[in-house]
Amino acid sequence: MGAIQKKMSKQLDFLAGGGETGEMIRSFDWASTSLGPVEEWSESLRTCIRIMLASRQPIWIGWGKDIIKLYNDPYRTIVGGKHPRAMGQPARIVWKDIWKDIEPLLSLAMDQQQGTYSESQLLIMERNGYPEETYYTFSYTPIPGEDGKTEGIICANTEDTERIISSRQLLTLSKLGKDLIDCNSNIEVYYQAMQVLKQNPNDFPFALMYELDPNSNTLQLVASTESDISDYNIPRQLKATQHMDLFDSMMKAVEENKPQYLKDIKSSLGKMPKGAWTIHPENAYVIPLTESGKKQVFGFLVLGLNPYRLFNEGYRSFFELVADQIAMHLSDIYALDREKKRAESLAELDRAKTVFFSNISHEFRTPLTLMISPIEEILNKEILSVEARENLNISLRNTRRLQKLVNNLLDFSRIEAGRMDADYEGVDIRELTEDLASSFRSAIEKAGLVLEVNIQSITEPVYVDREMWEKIVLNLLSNAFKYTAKGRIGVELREVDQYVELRVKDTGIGISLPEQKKIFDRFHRVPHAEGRTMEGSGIGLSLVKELVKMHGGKIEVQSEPGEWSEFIVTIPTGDIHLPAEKIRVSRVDDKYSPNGVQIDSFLSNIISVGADTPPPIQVDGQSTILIADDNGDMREYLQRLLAPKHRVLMANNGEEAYNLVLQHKVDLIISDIMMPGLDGFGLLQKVKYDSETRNIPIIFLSARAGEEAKIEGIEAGADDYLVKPFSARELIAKVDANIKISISRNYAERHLYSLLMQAPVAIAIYRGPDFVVELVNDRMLEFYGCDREKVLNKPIFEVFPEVAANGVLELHHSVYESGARVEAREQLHQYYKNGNWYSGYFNTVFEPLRDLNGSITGMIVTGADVTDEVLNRKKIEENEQKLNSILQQAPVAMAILRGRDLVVDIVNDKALEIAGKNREQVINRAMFDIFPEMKGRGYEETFYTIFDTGNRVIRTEYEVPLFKNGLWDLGWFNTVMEPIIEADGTVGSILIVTIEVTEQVLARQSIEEGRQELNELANAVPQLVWMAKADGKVTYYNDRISEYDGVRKIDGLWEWHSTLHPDDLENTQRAWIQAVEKGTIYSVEHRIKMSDGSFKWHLSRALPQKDKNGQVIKWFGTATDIDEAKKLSRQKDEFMGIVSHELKTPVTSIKAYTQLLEQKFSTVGDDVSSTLMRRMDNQINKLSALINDLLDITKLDEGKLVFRNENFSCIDLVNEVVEELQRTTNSHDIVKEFFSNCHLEGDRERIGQVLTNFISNAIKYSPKANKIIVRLEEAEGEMICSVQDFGIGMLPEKQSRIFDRFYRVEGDTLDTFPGLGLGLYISSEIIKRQNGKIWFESVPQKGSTFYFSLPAYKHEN
Amino acid sequence: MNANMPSKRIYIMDDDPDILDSMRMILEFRGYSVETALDGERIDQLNDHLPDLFLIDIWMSGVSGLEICKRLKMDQRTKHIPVVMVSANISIKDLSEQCNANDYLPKPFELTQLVGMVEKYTGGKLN
Repeated sequence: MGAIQKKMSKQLDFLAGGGETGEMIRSFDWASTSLGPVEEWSESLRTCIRIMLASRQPIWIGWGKDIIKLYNDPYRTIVGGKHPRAMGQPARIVWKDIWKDIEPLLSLAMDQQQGTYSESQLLIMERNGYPEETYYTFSYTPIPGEDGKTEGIICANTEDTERIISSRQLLTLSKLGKDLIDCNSNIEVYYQAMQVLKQNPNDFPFALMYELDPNSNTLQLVASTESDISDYNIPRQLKATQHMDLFDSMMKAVEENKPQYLKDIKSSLGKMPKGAWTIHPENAYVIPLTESGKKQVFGFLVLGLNPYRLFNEGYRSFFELVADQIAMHLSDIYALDREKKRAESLAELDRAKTVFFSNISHEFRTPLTLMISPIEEILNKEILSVEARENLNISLRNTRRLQKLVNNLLDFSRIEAGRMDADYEGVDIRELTEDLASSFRSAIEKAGLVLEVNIQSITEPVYVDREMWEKIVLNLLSNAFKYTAKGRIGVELREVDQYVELRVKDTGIGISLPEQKKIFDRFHRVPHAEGRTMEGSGIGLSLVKELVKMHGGKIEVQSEPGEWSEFIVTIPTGDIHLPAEKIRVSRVDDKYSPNGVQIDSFLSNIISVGADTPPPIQVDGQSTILIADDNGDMREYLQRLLAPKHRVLMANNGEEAYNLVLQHKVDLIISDIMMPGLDGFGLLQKVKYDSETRNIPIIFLSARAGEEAKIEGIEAGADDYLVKPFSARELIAKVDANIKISISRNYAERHLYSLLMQAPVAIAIYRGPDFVVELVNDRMLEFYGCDREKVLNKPIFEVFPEVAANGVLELHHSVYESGARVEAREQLHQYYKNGNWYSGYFNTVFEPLRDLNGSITGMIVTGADVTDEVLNRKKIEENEQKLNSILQQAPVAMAILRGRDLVVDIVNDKALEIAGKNREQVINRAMFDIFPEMKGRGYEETFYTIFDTGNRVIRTEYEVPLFKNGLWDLGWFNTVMEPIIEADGTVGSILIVTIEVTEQVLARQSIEEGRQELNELANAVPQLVWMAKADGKVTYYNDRISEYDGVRKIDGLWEWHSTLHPDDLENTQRAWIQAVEKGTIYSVEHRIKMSDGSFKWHLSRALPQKDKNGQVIKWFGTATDIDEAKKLSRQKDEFMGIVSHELKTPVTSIKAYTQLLEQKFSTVGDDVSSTLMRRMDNQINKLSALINDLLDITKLDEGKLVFRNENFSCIDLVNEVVEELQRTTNSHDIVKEFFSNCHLEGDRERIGQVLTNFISNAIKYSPKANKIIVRLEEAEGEMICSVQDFGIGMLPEKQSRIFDRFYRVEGDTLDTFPGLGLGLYISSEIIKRQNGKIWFESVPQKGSTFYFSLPAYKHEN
Repeated sequence: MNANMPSKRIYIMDDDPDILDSMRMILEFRGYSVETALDGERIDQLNDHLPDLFLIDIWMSGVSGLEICKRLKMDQRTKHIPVVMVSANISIKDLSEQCNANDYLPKPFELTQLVGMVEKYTGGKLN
């Protein structure tokens, strides 16, 4: 300090400069204050004033016992309205509003000579005539006078108000962005938004969210920042009469379409929550929330205003940003909701169809079975004519064809529903495959083809599900057969690496390259293929693919169109790729034979196949099991049970067993108790007392029954126990369980061991009273200073006798004997590492170890290195002592640079800190020697200008590169460079006063970045998001645009032609033009070109954003990929169409034959056969009805059901339908009641279908009744038709779903009431689409009445 | 059946041999003379001895029954011969109107329906 004082004293005008406040200080009558006249001021005060006036930093000086205030120009904003009268006033008068906050700090500096530092302190200051929330970082630095006593303080201030407020507002905005994005409903958005606002109680003392209920037109409180509003008068429902002010301002907000400032909220709602403040907010801001693209307000945000803040533009726009964010997310939900619902309904449809497949397959099976049995019954009769027999055989063949279709359907839907259960077992795949291939031989040869079967040897075990493998082989073979007219069909099986390869090759029609790609697709069928028969529904190959997949394998196809095709199936050998729980031990005594029924359904020509079981093969499993038993039969039995899954070792007695245990890695021992020589117990003891083998689980076998033996077994340490005779299943369960336990136990032990070994603390375990080292980790070995071998399994004090001294041995003994834990803290120890000895501080703990009985068996010793902590603490203590210099505590960085060489004359710690240097590195050295990196960046010129002109230079947010902590960094500084004028008038030195503002600059930058972040949120959405001007010119896309082709151009009109599928152009343009013209939502499904050139179905939507005049100003649009769902749904529809057609064809011929036969039988008087035929015909009718339902549903889904419009009489229709149905039932009397004779206009056939459905349902669901009433009535221009039954009725909870698709009423038992649940759904669609209504009334056990009504056309009088 | 009267000739086209067979048997049992075709190729080879009625399946492999019907109805030689479309297609009614067929018979059909239809277009019951 001496140097600076000398220089200052040379200069007479220390009060020079300083702008307005400098002038005030010069002209102030200081003599009238306790400071006395200027001339008498001490050097310290003069120096301080010099620093203050030179600084751009707001600084004030408090001097003398009154702490008289002097301040500089930058400080004026802080005193605000108190300037200029604050100059020369005592601090306690100037700061009476915050005196209680700052007085203790001032007295600390003045009386106890301690500097203070307060960071971002909240001060409610009345700078501008109202109490204001401000934040300051300031320090009081005591200034000693000549006598060393404190004469005054210098205080440097940084105002942080803006920074604190902006950063918390930014936090609120970014949290809103983050937290709202996951919300799925309006309510969630409200709630989450309030949760976020609640975390900023300074800006939002309270926030209320009122939602407009469009139904009741009331305003309901849906969320608020107060968790419990009962303490306040906050209304849950706003009423115009009671909450006039608030209500009025909301109405005004809607009228003017802008937020309203609501004064004195107290008068409307009473005292409101205070948030972070001590006083209640007076005013509120009411913001209407509008859905973008809609004019209608759907709610209001009522925000309490910070009482300590001016409601200026900044505060207002922050509030509006918050409201915009909430509104934006609400709009998003609105938009997303629709799309989600659409996607969900597609998925739901897909699921429903899968269920439907599975249902329909079951439904088909019943009539099929009922058809086959009468045919077979008649065929068994011998009296049949050749012709009748032939006809029946054709019927049977067609029925089987149907059966195969249905079976495929069923399998397929099982796989799709994930319900296909596999049962993998080791099989002789050669034999199985050969048998299956041979079963086709006669059919193939009969057709004039050659079958070549080539089965090679397979060495590895192969696991398959027999039935599935059969389906794979049979499907491929029947396909080959179907599409091969001449030549040969080859089946080849061989082993390739880790795989088994099945090749089925034919010389058939072949498959074109594009078809090869699609051939395994679900529902795909090669078009126009000339097959042997027309059957096939495109399931076979995709079924095979799924089945192969379930075996971890793959299927490929190779083909030369017109020449040949080859299908190659590869599945891995072994069982590692299969789920363990699905693998089954091969059945030892099951005699396997290929599934004859299955083969039948593949080949209409019946070839029965019988083959002997392949012997179960033994497989090396992962586990090795040792069997010790003196009984050879028992050993063999056990081996047979276990061998398929495990490796089995066998021993005759205990001795032999133990030797095997030592030689092999045994996972489990099964031992008899009674054995010659070493018995079971002896073996147990040997195994369990060897630390190498003690973890091997042992299961005892004994013929001794009873609890006693069991206890003995378990107590001896056996893991489990089986009493002879035991079941194979019991044994296998116990073996599996014990292996599993053993594996997990070993794992846990290993895990613990490696944990101890790798721990960063030194650990050792000593056992027994001699402290034998059982475990020691590397870190502990460093203390020992020796290898592990030297200490392991040795008493520690034998290895290191010298350590026993100084009470260490006693300490160990006392822990071992008393069981008390001993801890030694921060002890200095030596240790050996990398060839050197080091010393360090350690916390050591001695913890006794106990066995299960609680007696002490050893101890665990841990040593944690705390050297760094101890040294650091000591360093801090030292540093604290050093930091006592006044200057060093100043928060302002200061330095004086002497002469043109800029030699550092004086520098404070703050400056050193900024520079990242220590004092020795800088003092008396030239500035540019210290910071060579600053050379050549214009800094030199700045300094020389000061020397040349004598003018001070001020730089705000001066960017300076800093090399700190070994890294380059940028800092920002507010700096004043003040020339110090020598006596000769030249500039001798430069005083630099600087404050780092890096944080503020960075904070501002981060606010800007924050805005960007908000924009980027759009990229988080899993859809293409775009924005466009009113005319459709696109202004924004999110990053997903890279996935699309052609639409990349920003600020261009939609390039429909290059973007969309040509077939969708017209639709899209129409939708867009309509949306633009009417300002409505744009929504269209179309195919968009992706970047790979393919087209994918998308749901494109856009919401218009409108100004207050309803003019569209912007479009906010999305495109959601619905391709998968759409494709699947379409495929299924097509598939259903094909299936229905395929089903109808055989039904047609069966029906014709059946009726033909029935007629012939009755002609010749064979009544029995004729009755059977009629029964069969009945079943065929049921089948037809099912198929029709299936077709209808497909049409309904596609919206392709077309209705005719014809005029007809209801009575005629009812008569017709009833007459037809009455013919089919003897159990019920269908009674007609006509109260109207009107005509209808609509689709007569479809309406008849509804009536038929109603009546057949009535028959179906009233098995015990005998009457059904059909009524025709008329009311209010509507024709009402009803069908009443007296049956089982429906429970109320089931009634709501009755018109749902695929739903069916459950009766007493499921099979009593068949039906797919399609009828009512179809009926309801038919009636609804003709502007009618459908409903019902039902009482359980009393009956149901179903109604439909349609607009009546006119009476026929 | 009147042996002196030449029997009515029915021409049936369907790609399913079993259906053809059964229809033939039903109609022959009733004294009609039946000619069948598995595809549409032979329709062009019809000689002067034209049938009294065509029964045509709509969905056949390789050829559309609708096209055949249209062709028959445009040909001066055959346009007067009634055509009944037989199909499992649910839109059979509309499709038949499209191709100017005289009537339609949905599959699967009752024996009485088939016989009724044939009688209707061949001038009433035989025998």
